[in-house]
Amino acid sequence: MSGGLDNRIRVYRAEHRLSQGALADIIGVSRKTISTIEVGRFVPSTLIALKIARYFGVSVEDIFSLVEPRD
Amino acid sequence: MLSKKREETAAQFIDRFLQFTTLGVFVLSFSYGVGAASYFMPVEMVATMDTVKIGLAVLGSAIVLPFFIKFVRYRKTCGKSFLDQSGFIIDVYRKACETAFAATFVFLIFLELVSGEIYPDLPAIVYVRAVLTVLLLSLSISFFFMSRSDDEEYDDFGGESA
Repeated sequence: MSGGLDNRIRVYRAEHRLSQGALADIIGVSRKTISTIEVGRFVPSTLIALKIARYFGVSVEDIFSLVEPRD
Repeated sequence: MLSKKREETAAQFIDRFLQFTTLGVFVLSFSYGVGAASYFMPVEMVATMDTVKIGLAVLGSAIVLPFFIKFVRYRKTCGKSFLDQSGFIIDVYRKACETAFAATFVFLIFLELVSGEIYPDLPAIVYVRAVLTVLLLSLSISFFFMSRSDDEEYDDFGGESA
């Protein structure tokens, strides 16, 4: 993952049987934004991260985590 | 599987607006480039290059104008919150603007160094057109490069979005 940020959006989407487009509509962003967050290409704003976490009913840390550097 | 086309959201429109505006800017940059280059061409070619320049300017404007009108309408109906969008394409556009600023700055420094030495009698309009070409071209190329979709994943998980 680029930017040192890992995420579990795909996992939560799968659990909720939710498409990228549907999640994007709920959060108020475009589908491309969701897909680029998932692959680690785009680091979302705090607002987007909070909206995603609130929708899935979990904390931001449950979805986003820092990638630990390997020795 | 893709479902029937849904109504466009504000976020999707902003993405499309920026993508097509940048496409229009890309075309306009060639119009300015042709305008700058025409100064160095033989006299018999100037009329042709002027026609090409105007054609490109009209094409660039024609690409941008419909989206600009829709943008103004969206802003009126959605209010100020419409401009508070954030997302991947908006982020890329900001980065492209930064890249264009840096490229233009370097080009201006370059022009400042060489203008007096190489072309001391060149009219100011040629420099202005050259700078606009570099500005618009660097903005559009960096935008297209950074927003390319080579590692994008798409999945529907049951297609709930229908």
